[in-house]
Amino acid sequence: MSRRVSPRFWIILGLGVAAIAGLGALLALLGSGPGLVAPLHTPIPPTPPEDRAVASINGHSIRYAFWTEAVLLDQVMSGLAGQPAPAPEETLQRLINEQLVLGAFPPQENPTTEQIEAQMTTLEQAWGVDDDAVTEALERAGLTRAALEQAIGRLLKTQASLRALQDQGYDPMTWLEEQRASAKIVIDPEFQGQLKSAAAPYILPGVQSPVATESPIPTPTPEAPLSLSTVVPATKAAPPTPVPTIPEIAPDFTLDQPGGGTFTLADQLAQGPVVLVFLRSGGG
Amino acid sequence: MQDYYTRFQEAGAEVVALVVASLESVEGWCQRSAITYPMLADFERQVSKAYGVYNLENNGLAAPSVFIIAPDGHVAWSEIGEPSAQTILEHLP
Repeated sequence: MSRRVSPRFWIILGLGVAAIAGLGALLALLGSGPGLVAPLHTPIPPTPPEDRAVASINGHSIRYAFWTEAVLLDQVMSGLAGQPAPAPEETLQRLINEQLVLGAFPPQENPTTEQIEAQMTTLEQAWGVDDDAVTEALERAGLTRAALEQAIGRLLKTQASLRALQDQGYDPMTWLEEQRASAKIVIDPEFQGQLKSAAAPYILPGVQSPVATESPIPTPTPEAPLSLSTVVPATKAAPPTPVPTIPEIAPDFTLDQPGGGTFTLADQLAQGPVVLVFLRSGGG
Repeated sequence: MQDYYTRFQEAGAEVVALVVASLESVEGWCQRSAITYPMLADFERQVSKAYGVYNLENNGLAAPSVFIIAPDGHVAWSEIGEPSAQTILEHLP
């Protein structure tokens, strides 16, 4: 039941940045996992919109502001590469996959400024643009150069983590598929509804909208420390299936009981099946 | 549901009502009504959202719905709406 997200975008973006492209292709290849499991404990107090978590991966939150910035960065970079931008949902799936990798194989050290600058130069050469063009594109999206450098740093860290994963004998794609199936990944249902609607607010003028998925274009792979592009099979992407918001595994929860004490679903389940009846109102 | 509650208990199941409301409101309802099964206040909407039933009617409340949770934690049956207690009983695992 896993969704296959087209690796098209990342393979195309990788013309000249094989390592990052292969990485991105791998991460974007695996779409959303099957069911959602949300272990709920104490209620989360209302938070400002920018800070609200739109997804949670094994307890690690992806905040709205972080995702929005990632979407805009993807659009800027694809625009500079002259390619269609990924859909905002594809960006979210990539962030989820990145977090799974980073969470399981934390990077031992952060990329240096030099490494990030070197990667930036490689990207600009691949895109055939100069620094000014990049800055201008970022400014149009309301982003700073620092934001792009941070994103590149994160990709480099993820790349290092993927190397660690492989060094331990795992196949990245298999490992990620297993993680998607077993990790506690929650996507806020309201936010999912938002994702389904037109991506209009996030598309920058002049950026091509995501096109229907096709088979990936083979990418030349210049020298790269880690070439994952060969890992990406040339498959045709299946049309995205709607993700059900009704969970298959009952999210656990604890709520205060009137009169004192708390009710925890898991504790009650130990005694037998539980019928949850959601009411519109308690008065009738 | 109250009429059927004994039958659910005899079948080894617990019935729990959830409503997006304050704990105070729920306490008031419980005191004023004849309901003997637990009613919980999902004030923060977290549970309703987790089960995918929050705001389906665009009223900031949970949509009336029923979930039968099997002891192993999986959702054995669910229905968005107000199925009869008889129907729910018939779907118990």
